Amino acid sequence: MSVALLIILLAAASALLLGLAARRGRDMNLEQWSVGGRSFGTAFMFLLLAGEIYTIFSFLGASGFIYGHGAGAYYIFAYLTLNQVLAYWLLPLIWRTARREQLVSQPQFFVRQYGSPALGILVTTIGVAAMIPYLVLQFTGLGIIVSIASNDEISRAGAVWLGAAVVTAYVMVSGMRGAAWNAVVKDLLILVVVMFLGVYLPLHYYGGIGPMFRAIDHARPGFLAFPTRGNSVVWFQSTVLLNAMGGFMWPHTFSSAFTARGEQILRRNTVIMPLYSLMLLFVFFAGFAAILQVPGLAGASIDLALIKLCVQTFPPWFVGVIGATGLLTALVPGAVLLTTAATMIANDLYRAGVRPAASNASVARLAKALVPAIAAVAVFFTLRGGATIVALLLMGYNLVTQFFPAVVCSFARRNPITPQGAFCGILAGTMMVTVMTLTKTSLSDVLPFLPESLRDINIGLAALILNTGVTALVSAARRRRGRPGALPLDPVTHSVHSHDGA
Amino acid sequence: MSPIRKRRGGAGLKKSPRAILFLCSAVPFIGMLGGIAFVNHVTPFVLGLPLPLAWITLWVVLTVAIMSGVYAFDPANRPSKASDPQSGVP
Repeated sequence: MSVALLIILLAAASALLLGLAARRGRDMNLEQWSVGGRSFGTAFMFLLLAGEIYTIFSFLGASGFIYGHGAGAYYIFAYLTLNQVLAYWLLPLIWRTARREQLVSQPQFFVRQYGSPALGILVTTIGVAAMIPYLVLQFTGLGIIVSIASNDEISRAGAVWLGAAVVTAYVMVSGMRGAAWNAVVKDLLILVVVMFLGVYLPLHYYGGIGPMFRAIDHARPGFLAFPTRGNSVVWFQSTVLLNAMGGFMWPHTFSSAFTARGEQILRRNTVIMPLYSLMLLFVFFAGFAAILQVPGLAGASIDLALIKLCVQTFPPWFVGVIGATGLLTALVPGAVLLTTAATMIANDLYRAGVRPAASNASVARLAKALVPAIAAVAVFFTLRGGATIVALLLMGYNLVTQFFPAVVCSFARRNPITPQGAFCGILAGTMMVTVMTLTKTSLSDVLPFLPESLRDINIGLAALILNTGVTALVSAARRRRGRPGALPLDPVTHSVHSHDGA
Repeated sequence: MSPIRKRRGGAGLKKSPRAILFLCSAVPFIGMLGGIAFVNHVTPFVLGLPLPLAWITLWVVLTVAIMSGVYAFDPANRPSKASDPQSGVP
């Protein structure tokens, strides 16, 4: 067994132990397991949020995207920052609602705000469907790291199964609190490793960051700016805008706001978080360094760029440290995703839709039992493979961003959207994304009359426009049919609010 | 703009600073996304970085600065006792 692999396996074992230690002295009921008992302070929140944002995606995915597509990858940097600006205003509102209504999940938010159980079930289904590609990309990254670090002693498929097993075991013993503790270790490691790689690799191969960019510009003219077609400026603008709106619409990021102790903690975090995204600059440098050093990777293999360059540059023990970091960056978010998906299916599909009488204890038992099943589904899709890490994430973002209009409008003093409007809009938007993604249709295929400059608009943003239009139309139609002057509220919402007043 | 706000009385006083702060947080969007169309050339390199990357990096830093200001002036971040008329104004 190689030294690198040994170090990676040790890291996996210690992550598991840390997860076990984190649950000590706490009764793991549903609220503890899924939202950490709503008790996390600034530092813990920061790490948990950072842990969810800076995943294996920013490690292998971002460097791979730089390697394969150059400037296009800058979008990651931009959207992570703008997402936090929106979050400054949005998260405290979400937190307040969650606190008032004692929510543990995103679908419950929709059920309470719109008084519509059907909307909750739709949101659960879409949310879980969007989290699968996110989980797949974590497993894809795990597979890449473990198999390359072991010099292919462990096959890619074997590595994916191994990684999935570790994540599953870890989630079942510890839930959210374990994820936050491991996030502490992971964030320190990734910070050090990424900064080192981003400085050392350009220095070692090119004599510095400036010389490296000049060399790349010489070899591939134009690669460092946005091209006129494909990942163009319009693509960049629309993708950044879409992802900035979608960043906190993921079921797991949405409910991570619930874990905060107070709303000021959330605001403070959103102010600092962009500084943390500066770390991506170093990932970019490392990815750029690979362009001329490990040439010839194409298709989904571009995700291998960083780790291949590391194997070629460093002694095995250091490859092990890098691999261990990569493992943790997949493990922590993987655990958060699995916990959230399992809680949603148990609580928001099973209890809300099938057996309303189910007790908290039986829902918690079901959630834990679902973890291995969800992991297995993700492994299945991972092994079918083919898509790059960034493509997987963009697909998920296109889906969850469809929640944005309904979430924002629900905070208006008089919500202009009716439950039916929200339902139809979200359904229309996600259908458009799904059909266009599965059939690999681009916007210019559907709307050939679009001017050249608008053809590269992200389809998710186009779907969001459709979504908003449908929402407005259906809401207006419902409103007109109702009694004049009647509030667009369902009886359920009324009852919720009257409880509040009591 | 704050002196003008100061003279407005009543409920508007508590609301309007937040409205201004909300508008301030649109600036990073305009800078980063709007500006990029004008700087989409590899050269000149800025501190060794290609121009579009340097532009986005600059805006990441500016965003932190802007949002720190928003945080500091946001009345919602004052301790709850301090929500008297004066504290709503920078």
